[in-house]
Amino acid sequence: MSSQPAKTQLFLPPTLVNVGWRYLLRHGWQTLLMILGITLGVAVVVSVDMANASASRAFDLSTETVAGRTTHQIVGGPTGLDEAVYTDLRRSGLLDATAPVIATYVSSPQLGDAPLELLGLDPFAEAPFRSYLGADGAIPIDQLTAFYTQPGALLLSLDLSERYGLDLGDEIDLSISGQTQTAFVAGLLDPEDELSKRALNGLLIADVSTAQELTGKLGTLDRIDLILPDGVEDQLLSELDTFLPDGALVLPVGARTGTVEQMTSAFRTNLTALSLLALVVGLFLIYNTMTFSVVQRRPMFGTLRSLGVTRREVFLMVQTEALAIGVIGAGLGVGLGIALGQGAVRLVSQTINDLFFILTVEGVAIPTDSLIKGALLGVVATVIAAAFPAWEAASVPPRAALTRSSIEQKASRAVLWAALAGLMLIASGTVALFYPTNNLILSFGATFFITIGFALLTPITTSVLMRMIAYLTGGIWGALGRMAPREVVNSISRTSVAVAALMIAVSVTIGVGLMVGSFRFTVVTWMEQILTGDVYISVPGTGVSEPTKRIDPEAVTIMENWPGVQHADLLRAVAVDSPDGPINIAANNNPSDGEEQLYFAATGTPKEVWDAVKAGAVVISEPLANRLNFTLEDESISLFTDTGPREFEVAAIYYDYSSTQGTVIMWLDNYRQIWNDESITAVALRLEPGQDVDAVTQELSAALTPIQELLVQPNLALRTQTLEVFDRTFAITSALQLLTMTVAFVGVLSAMLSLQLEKQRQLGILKAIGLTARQLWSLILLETGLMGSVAGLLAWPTGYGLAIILIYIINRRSFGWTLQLQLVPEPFIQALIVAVFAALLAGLYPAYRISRRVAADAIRFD
Amino acid sequence: MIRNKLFITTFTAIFFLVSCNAQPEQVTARVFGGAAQSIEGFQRADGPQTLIFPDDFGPHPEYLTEWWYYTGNLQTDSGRPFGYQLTFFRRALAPPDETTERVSDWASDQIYFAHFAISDIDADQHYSFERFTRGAAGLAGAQAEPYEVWLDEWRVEQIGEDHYSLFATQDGISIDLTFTDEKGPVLQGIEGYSQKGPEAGNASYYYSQTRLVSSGTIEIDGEVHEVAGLSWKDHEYSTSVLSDGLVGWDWFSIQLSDGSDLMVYQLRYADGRIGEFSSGTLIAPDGSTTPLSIDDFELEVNDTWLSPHSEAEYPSAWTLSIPSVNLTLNVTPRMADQEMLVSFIYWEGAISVNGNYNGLEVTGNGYVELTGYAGSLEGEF
Repeated sequence: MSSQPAKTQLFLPPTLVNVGWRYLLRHGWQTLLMILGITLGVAVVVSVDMANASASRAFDLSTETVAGRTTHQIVGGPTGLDEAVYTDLRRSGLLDATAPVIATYVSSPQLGDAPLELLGLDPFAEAPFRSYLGADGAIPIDQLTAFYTQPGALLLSLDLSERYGLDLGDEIDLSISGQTQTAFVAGLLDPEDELSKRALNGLLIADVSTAQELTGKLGTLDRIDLILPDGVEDQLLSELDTFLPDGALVLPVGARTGTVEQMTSAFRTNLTALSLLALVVGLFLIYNTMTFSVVQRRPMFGTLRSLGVTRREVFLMVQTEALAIGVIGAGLGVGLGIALGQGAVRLVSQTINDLFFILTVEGVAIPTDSLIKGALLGVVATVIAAAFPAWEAASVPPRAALTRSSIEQKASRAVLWAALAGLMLIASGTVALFYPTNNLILSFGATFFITIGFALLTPITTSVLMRMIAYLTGGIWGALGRMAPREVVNSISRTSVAVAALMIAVSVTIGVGLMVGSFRFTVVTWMEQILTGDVYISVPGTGVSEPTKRIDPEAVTIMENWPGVQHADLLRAVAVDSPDGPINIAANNNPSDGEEQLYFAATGTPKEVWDAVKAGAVVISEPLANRLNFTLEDESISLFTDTGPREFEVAAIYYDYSSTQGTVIMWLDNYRQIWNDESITAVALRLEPGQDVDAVTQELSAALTPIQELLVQPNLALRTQTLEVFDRTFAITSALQLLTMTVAFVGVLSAMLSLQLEKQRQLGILKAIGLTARQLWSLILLETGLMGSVAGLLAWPTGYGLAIILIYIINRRSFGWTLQLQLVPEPFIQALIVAVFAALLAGLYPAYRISRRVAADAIRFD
Repeated sequence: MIRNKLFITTFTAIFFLVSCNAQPEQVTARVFGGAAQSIEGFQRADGPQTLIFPDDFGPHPEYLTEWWYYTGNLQTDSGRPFGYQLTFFRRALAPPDETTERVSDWASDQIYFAHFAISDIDADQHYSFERFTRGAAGLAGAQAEPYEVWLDEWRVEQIGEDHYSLFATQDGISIDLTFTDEKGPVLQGIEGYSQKGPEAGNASYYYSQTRLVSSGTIEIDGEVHEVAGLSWKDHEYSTSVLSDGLVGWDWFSIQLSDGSDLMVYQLRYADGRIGEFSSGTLIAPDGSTTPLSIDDFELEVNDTWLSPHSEAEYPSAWTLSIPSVNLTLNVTPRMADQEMLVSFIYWEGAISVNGNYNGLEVTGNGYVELTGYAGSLEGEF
């Protein structure tokens, strides 16, 4: 064929390309469905990757902007750092570059009520650290007089001011820890580069004095930023150690942000895994459709081969088709991914805001590497999925068509091998899962193995089930009833792939559904156990990730003495530093808290545990124990206190679903004594029996409002609110689940279409020998319905297995939560219905088509 | 001394210190209330006033600007010479009675900045540094009793009656001195009222401590030199001084071998004319003073020096004569390049003198400040 053999190594002769191209065009539906499968798969991967990348870049950007060129930070205890530490440090001349920082989250109705970071800085100390106050840009001093001398003066970015129509001198109300403070726009910053611009959009900058006054942090700083030059770092650190008072701690700048990064990474890995699953389902579809197209063209390949086309060229021809479909699908997928990504970015950011930390940077530019990654993944995956069918095509001997029966004979041998391979995959995946590790990639890899293993069991299970069911359906529908299952078995090479794809998609629905349901159930049960107060009071915040805002002491006194209140449980929630990064402390004075917690492991009875806590011990939450690899044998954990590091005996590990970072519970009096901090973060009121909870809530709220804007909620409202956050967290999961389902649906549709269209001739014969249109409809729908049912039924054990893995392994390894499996029938029934429905729907068009066709045409056309 | 007006300009020009390790990233900004600062609401130096010590050693926030200026010539036992300058400037952002009551310790309407320079004359090396900070939270400030003026770790403080210590360090260059004031405060102008222009209020309150017997160490890149010599302190506060048309000034402080000290300055117009309020003071060894007006002294420039940094041309040798007291001095910089490369460029350097006083040979050292050569100050004040 080719006079230039070397060329055939890489390129196909144009004639062959044309042959392939014509085929794809003639079978437009199949082609479209293949493209759609890739498009959806790639879109899901791209959108999730985009959301992850954008969240993590937003996080990096906000920490980088705020940290600037800082290498280390001096931090204090929960009450901040005495500002005198800074003055002493400056007057000692120990370090060249030091800068005081006050940082807090605020929001403002004039700025869209979104969380913004208020940074209190000293402009004179800033130059070595951060450049947005202008290094070379130079803001003239007499122009900055207002910023410097007037109370409430803020600098914000030009973008932000334009977005909200604010101009110089305009007043803005800041909501800070439930108090409203008035500030004004003293300056607008407009950095040249795009990144600084975005970063600045989440910041309000004030002088240290202004920030102290706005936040009430008088006399203290949140931290002191340092630049310790390389080489003398260790020497300076040891000098600082002797210089600084007890309780002031020098940490490398990454120490705090690193922990947060690490925690969100589990969340992001979970999303990526879920998105890859959508692609895997898409791949089944490619494989299925390509196989079908190859089988359909066997006579043509035979002819081509006898015309002198080499095996290699046939292989390349099929692969080129796959490549073309992959490229088009991936291209469209990237486009759709960007669109879906906007929504995903929002959902992911919301979850991160709810669970981990506040992202003040929004709308980070579309990360191009996510797009490239997604597109490449789509194309490569398509080509790989098509490799087997292509090899199959290339192996057609150079003579006319081989009969189908021989392929199917080959296939029925393969069924056994597939089943064997499937069992081995399941076995090895299970072994890998039992390997004790927190490596999520390994865990997900094993999960994939198990899932694919189940998929490989599909052909054999389908065959067996079909043979068994033939008696049943035969009994009901007679000859047609016996025929339908046999048809499924006869074309097992393709039906089983379609069934497997559908099965995987549906099992994911079951697995994730069970997991989310169990999670929700666990949280509800847990809340009932621990939310024993009647009225809860806290400071409205910008997210659960910042629980350290204080309730005005005057308000606390009012609550404690409110008529009808039996006991006011006071809580101080605060993050303190530890050798393992910041750790949340929940210090309370609830006399019966010990009995209200559910213990994962304890050193004694709940009462003994709580007595130990009152005597100075602590109890730590399960996620914290997991994060620190802590067991009760370790006996104690170390926390930095105002007098240096201190060991705390751990009396128990308790179940907790409120934080992935983990929490240490201690007795409030002990906390106050050690950290010298009288602040209260939240209060739970137990009312005397017979009190009207709603009335107390309303009256108390009214009485507290003049002092501080506080969230006063009855028990029920708090539960509802918690569940709202919970549901919001899983919004992205549900969205992904739905997308995977869509991909599977497209897969089933395409498989059924191909299968039924291929059988036109056979059906034509049936029609010719007298089958009515109605009977044809029944036959086709029975066949697809059976396939759907098999997929749905097979999804049960697979989905259950997935749920077990997600609940007991992935979740624990990702977030440290132990969930109680709640086995409910809904996800299973739902899955079966969805599978059958999808399969039936997919049978409609072929049935419609064949019933409209004249028998003779159907037989003639092939 | 008027000379220091220039630093107010410094201030107008640059708010945030351009530190050498800062990455220049362009940030443009619009700010609220961007008009140039008015002198409304501040007290003016508008007539002689009795200066009271130690009270007047401290700060005077009711005036717009103020500075405490230390210069000196020191040498090692082996005769290796050094010059130094350490100056603290205060600048009010608002008059005291217009200040809003603030609760934060950091709130302040006073800015402090400081210049520190060492002239290593034998090595022909001149080091100059600059710092800014707020006059609050203990970061910078001044107080009368016990006397102290400081910015970060740079400081001058009283350690006993007429005894002081001075310390500054940056980038491996340090000075650590103690000194004794031999003559006590010397009032410049009319009892400390120093008229700088014909308009009422264009004046300052100004006193000096002209003979501070100093000893201590200078450290340059790890090498510590034991030094001794004489320092000079100026303290001046005002709200407005410069008249229209003035572009700069030449200021001289000289400590003579016979125990006399001399301060003269001349104000320069753009066309080279000398301002009529140029003046000086001759301080006898016993501390008694003879005021000098523009008609009493003559400054002849004998040479010039072209700065390789700023490309400004500075006078670099003078003949100073005061016929009324029969004094003629040749004034020579101890090294040419003592240009202050801070946010506002000027020349401030150690000089030596020799000449004739009442028929007797005299020698001496001192400091000269030359402003308005690397850019005019006109219109700034």
